[in-house]
Amino acid sequence: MANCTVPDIADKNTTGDSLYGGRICDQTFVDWAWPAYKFNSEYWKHGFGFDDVCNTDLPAARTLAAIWLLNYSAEDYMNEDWNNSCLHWACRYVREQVGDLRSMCGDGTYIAYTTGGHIELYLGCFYSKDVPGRAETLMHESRHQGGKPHDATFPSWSGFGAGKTGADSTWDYEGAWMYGALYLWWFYAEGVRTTPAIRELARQRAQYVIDNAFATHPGYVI
Amino acid sequence: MDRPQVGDQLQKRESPPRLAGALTHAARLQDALSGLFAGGEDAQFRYDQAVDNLNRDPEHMMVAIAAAYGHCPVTDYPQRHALVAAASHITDEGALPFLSSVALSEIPPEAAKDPHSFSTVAEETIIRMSAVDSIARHASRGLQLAIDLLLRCVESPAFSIRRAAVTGLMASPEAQRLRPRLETLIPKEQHFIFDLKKVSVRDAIQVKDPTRHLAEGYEPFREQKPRIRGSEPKGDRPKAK
Repeated sequence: MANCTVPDIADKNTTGDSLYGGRICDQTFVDWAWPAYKFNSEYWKHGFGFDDVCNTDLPAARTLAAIWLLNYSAEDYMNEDWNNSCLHWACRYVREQVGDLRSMCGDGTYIAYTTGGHIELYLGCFYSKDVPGRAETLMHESRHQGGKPHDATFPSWSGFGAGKTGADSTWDYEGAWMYGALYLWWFYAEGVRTTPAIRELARQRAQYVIDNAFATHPGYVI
Repeated sequence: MDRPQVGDQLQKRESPPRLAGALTHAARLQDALSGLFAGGEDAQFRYDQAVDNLNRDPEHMMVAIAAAYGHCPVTDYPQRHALVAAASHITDEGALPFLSSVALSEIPPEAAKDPHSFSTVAEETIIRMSAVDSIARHASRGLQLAIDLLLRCVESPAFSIRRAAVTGLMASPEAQRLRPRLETLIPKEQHFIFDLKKVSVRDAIQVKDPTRHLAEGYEPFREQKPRIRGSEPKGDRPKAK
């Protein structure tokens, strides 16, 4: 068991936590989302927000905010058909991939890690990413859960470190980077129940991934 | 006997106030930031009002934005990005000195232990990409100062900043004239920058069949998600009120 402290919290208007925090504070949503996304309750107690689930200072609310965004950003949000756009089915994909969702301190190395059938989220995920960024992390990790590892090294121009492992070879590889970027792109282009400023955050994040996370640039500018 | 604790322990602490101080336009800036990120039924009204406020007295607002940016902790990426976003809504060319100081500032070395998971270079670059895109909007109107600033951004060591600057220049009225010069500024192996296309997400390659990529033996969750509304708690779930 590790001990950690809530770090300085960025302005919740600018991270989207004010906007989405009000929405997740709905018992019907919490009752559904908790088992649907397989939150392992034992790992969300002891300060992580189980007993204060509307408190957007804490990891549980910050994770539920990302889950709300995943579920309700399509205009026709009840339509989760696999044949529809990623904006529609991403919530379902994450739901059906995550086996056991845990909140932990972490040692600062990772913000999230997929291992042995469960997804661990660490402080960096809750406090250094905005709400769309957290949704992207859930998509990215879920893709790993689906058995697709990274298959390439970062290209010479990459901000992630030229020659380091962890890149996807191409967009067509349909790896974790593509899943995360594609979701952010759809959210930017057609996401609703959000604000232009939050959609813009998603656009820049998706573009950074497109520019830097593939051994062969996918060729897109958003 | 108490059950042993499973999982880690997280302690709370108080966060310092933001945009503190006696800046002339700090309160108006804070209002504008709230408006830019506001939700709810009057979101569009508040957004439009925020944009109007930012443009009402651009010179003083830029002073407030630059001061707030300077006071921001380096690691408060969301706030820094929001301040650049606020500056990008200011149509007056007086926003350019601030935007260029952000875009051209050196990116600090990677501080994250595992950049694949979270990268400080990524966060820093994203802030600068927004600044470059904003400069590009001024350049698209043919503003020479903006075009000159983008040319300086082309020489940035960060690929995404270079790419954003080239995209902006190629969308400016000077595109044809500048192309040969840009080709000399971009390393040969990165000339694919000139082939990158602004596309709609609908025209991008999609996931062919997401069901191919589900973990073996996954169990679909059968309960349909609730429609957007409030209701009463169930016994064994965390309480929302």
